[in-house]
Amino acid sequence: MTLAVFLARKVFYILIVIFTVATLTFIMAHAIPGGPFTREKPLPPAVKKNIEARYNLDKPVLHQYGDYLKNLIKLDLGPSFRYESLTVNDIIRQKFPISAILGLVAILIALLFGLIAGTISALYPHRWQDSLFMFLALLGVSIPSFILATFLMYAVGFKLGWFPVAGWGTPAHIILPAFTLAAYPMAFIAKTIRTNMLEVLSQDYIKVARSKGLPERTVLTRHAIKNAILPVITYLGPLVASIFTGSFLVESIFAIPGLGKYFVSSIYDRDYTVILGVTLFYCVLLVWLNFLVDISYSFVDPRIRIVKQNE
Amino acid sequence: MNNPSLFSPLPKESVHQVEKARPSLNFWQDGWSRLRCNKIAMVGLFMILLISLFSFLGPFLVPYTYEKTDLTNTFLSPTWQHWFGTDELGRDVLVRVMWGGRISLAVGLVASFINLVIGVIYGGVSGYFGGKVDEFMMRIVDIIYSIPILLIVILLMVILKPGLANIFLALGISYWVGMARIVRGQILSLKEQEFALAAKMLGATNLQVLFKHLLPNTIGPITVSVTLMIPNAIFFEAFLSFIGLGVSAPMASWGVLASDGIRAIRAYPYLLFFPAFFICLTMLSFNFLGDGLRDAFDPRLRK
Repeated sequence: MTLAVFLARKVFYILIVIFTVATLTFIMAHAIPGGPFTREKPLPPAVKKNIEARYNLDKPVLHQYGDYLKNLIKLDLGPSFRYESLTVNDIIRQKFPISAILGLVAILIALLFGLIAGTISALYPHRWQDSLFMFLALLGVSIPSFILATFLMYAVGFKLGWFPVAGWGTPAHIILPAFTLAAYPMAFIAKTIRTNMLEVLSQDYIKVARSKGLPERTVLTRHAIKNAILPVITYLGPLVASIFTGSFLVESIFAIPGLGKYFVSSIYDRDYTVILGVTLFYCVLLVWLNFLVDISYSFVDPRIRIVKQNE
Repeated sequence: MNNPSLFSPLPKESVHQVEKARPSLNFWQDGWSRLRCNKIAMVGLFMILLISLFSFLGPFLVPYTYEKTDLTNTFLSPTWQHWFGTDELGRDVLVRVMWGGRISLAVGLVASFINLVIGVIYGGVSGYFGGKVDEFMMRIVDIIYSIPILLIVILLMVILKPGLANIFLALGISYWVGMARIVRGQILSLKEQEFALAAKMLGATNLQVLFKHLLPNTIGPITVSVTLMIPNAIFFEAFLSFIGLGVSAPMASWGVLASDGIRAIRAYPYLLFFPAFFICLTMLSFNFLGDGLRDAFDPRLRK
């Protein structure tokens, strides 16, 4: 099987996923009681009919479904349920860059510190460095993000006053929320790196590198880390997912005007088109990111070639 | 030489020459004996028992109820009357945390149980029948797997009305995918083994082979996965409560209590501290136990 066939297959599969999610959101939108023109004071039937005709709501469901898919292909997620002048596209365009910056910083923190902590733990197995980092990692996976967020806000932001408690605008505002978001993936990466590193360090080629007289630092950076870090690449997909879903809470708590906070407030407002549109947006984004991760994995690791993987 | 008088019976004690090196253990006894040596896992187990006792028996020992308000005693700091203080309506926080524990633990257990049933059956059928069936069923799993679980749960909760039963439902029907994958992987390798063939030759039906012979052998990974799923479900419930999709007043889960506490964090930090402490402790304990179980049931993974 050639690379092109492999890619085509993958893309086809992704389109199926997107199509399924889109269909599900459409069904859900219709399962929700009440319509966009449901008011406390009912509209006169004739007016209602006119409005529905304007928006094609009087057509059969299948026809509406077709329209919906056509709009999706044009990347049009429709208007907000609550705010007349906003479309879901506007909201995503305005709010997502903020979430993306926050997420990116969090991913970098998670990768950097996870890598360092995991490597140190593996270099000193069962010594105090290892115990300390693994204990922290255990805390990292056990403390829910909203509790960590509030704790950091209260202790570091409010009591110590090192960072702004909440808000957005300066680089200092990013630190606490990014760290909160990074806590879980950081812990996970540290654990993974430790396990892999221990395994890699016991391999023969590391012994060879050492017996050649290479300094320990070179053995680590040139020989060991490359192989120990590979499984982390497969984790990048779930990592991004956890950062995005985590940002719902973290942005709400730290009052960051990103897409996550908007998403949560649209849940409170029952702004259905926004909820469904943003969900769809996140799903599509994640599916493509996973696709990129899959491809990059086979390029990074020469031992795994796409063709082999799929036999 | 053939004189029988030269032979004498051995004393009774030495008859059993082939001594068993150790008593034969079944799967659970074996796992338990290894788990028992793992101090951290035992601490986790002990904490879980304590928290369960606290949540389920506690409310009977406290002279307050979770919905009883006392407007003359609002926002009391922890005292001898109210160990955890009182909230903005004068309700005793201790008893509310106990009730919250009931809800949170119940969510964890019920959601995991639903996942267990769906995941084991789905994964078992997919792995056992293989071929086209497997291909089709796993494609569905792949599709669900590529959507973040939390988004599915949020969507479901938006459509269903917030409430305990719907939380069970939403968590139960969205989380089984991981379990299905694990079980399928196990069954795929187990069904090629001789005992499965033997069972078939003795005339066992497909369902009998699957449920009586293959699935019992996957119990180790399943137990580990369920143990690690419980804290996840508890966290998701807290998450849902936090964004306003959880159980409604006057009942309160730990998630609801914590998110109420966050609003009053500057003035009354203890309102957040107690529910947050119990959430963390529970999740930590289940993670301890889960890690220990993994080592106990699958010694190959041990370092």
